[in-house]
Amino acid sequence: MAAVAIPGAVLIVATACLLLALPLGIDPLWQVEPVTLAEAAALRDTGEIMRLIDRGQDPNRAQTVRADLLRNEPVVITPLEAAVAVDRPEVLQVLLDNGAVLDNAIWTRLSCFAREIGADDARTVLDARRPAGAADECDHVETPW
Amino acid sequence: MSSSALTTSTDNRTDSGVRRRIISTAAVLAALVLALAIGHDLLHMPLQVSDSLSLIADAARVPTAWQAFFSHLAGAGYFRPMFYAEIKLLYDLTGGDSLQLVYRLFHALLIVAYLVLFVRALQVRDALTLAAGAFALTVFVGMHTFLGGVKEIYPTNHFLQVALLALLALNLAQSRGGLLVDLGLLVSFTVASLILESGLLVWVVIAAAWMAGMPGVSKRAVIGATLLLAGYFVVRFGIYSTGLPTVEERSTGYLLETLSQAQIRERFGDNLWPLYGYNFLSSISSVLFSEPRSGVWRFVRSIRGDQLAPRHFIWLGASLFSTGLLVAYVTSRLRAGVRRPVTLADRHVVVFAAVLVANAAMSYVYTKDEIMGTAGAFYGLPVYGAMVYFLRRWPASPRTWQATAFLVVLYMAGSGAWAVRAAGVHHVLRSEAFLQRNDWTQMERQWRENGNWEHYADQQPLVRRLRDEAVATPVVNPRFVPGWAERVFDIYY
Repeated sequence: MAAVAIPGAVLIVATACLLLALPLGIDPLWQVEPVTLAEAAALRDTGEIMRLIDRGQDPNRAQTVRADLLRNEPVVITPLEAAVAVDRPEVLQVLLDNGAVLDNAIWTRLSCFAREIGADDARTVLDARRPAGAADECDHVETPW
Repeated sequence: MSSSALTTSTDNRTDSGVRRRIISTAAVLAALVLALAIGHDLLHMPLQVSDSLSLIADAARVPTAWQAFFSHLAGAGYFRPMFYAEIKLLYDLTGGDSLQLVYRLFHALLIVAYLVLFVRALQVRDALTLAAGAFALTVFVGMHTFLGGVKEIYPTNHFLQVALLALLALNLAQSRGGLLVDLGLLVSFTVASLILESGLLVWVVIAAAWMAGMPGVSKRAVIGATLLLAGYFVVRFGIYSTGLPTVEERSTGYLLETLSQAQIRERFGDNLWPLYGYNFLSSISSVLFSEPRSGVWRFVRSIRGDQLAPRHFIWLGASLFSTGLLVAYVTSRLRAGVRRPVTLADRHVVVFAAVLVANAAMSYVYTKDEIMGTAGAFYGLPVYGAMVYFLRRWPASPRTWQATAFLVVLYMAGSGAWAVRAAGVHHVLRSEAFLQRNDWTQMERQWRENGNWEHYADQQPLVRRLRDEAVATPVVNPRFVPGWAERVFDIYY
């Protein structure tokens, strides 16, 4: 009888403990890790991108992306650059639809970066949104890496 | 007989009655704990944008729930007027504010009722049935069909509601009966059949429960339900001519892949019977063995793709254990000369078998885990009965110590696998919340592309408000979930 009951009983008791911890502000199952906007882009988290922008964060500001999210070491990049780094067109589009600026200089830098790392899907989005007069030359363009 | 002996006898009956009530209350509390935890998860989940947004926008436009009801009596292929009326009723509760919260709260309350109805149907009365009840709850919650009814809020889950009403009908069928119970059965059937086509399964429950000899179903109730069933067919196919859904409407799983509508026609042409037969059999197999999933044999596909993980063995192993238990029980009863249902467990076998076959038959056009939700809900009942049966016989059955050790390990492994499956529900809901929230960020772009943005121009403030509520919901990014969770818990969602 115990062999049958123990696993279910353990689950029920553990669940009860989780529920009792909620009024104390402890919610292990829904522990939300705070991230920067650039990290949200690196994590393909378009929901968090919009939430942070709605709360007033600047989608054009370079921010730290912690180690092991994009590279082994922390990097400081803009959310748009992070979106290109993970080659996610939907992340790019959400940023651009919600206030991220894509002027000539930024477009060139992002396009060269995408070409450098082989981010073809991101390049498709960038090409569709190319500002008039944006240069295609990458010779003297500094990319995040 | 002396007065002291009479007093002792009365005291004993009172004590055992009190003990039974304490134990059955403990079982309900256990169900409540699991349900509240799932409800807590649901309050973190945005509504599913793809299936719910246009329905909510439509509800905002229609003046009353009655009009929502009547305007959906003549849908092509489907007959769900109560589903639309319900969305409107819930919408009107808030006047369009905090809609995400209202629909999620409604869903969470349904989950609570769902688990409580299941555990009541078990009729837990003593320590042994309480032990088996803990196991049965993990089977109920761990079924992939349960997940299908829980993880999707669009904006109310009709599959879940039908399964809940079917369990309600079963509870009524297990009661002492009477006029009110009969009325309850008829109301359950009527509401279920108007919410979703598989609501007809409530009639199957009533009829099967009556045939199995459950005390709460009178001949009057069966006749009444059957007349309502006939009336349903007259109204749906005679008066409103809704027809039936066709294969052109959805993709469906077949062997190791998912076939699009075009691929279905290409492969089967005009002779769809092999597909219908496959969908019927695979739906039954899915409930009994957790494979295939929505028609696709994922375990085989994982072997071929070299993607086997512990979760595949947990899922298959758990189902093999519980279905094996069920088969062993039926075999044992037949060998004992039982040819008609005698015990509650026998009756649960009969009702489950009827619901399983009927539910699978309704799934003939396309397979989806959620469609088998009612059969999945009923699966835990005879499995529980089988477990109780073997536990009661345990002391009396002669066995070597090796056989005893083997059985203990088997029971522990089987019930442990189900507990892992049940625990995995939280992981799936958490992962689903992340996906749903991201879907909301693509909504406006997609609606502009498909013309919905103009079509619902008058509802743009509402749509934006719903999106803002969804986006404001904090969710867990899968990147921060321990890696072992993906290997242990189901990730097919």
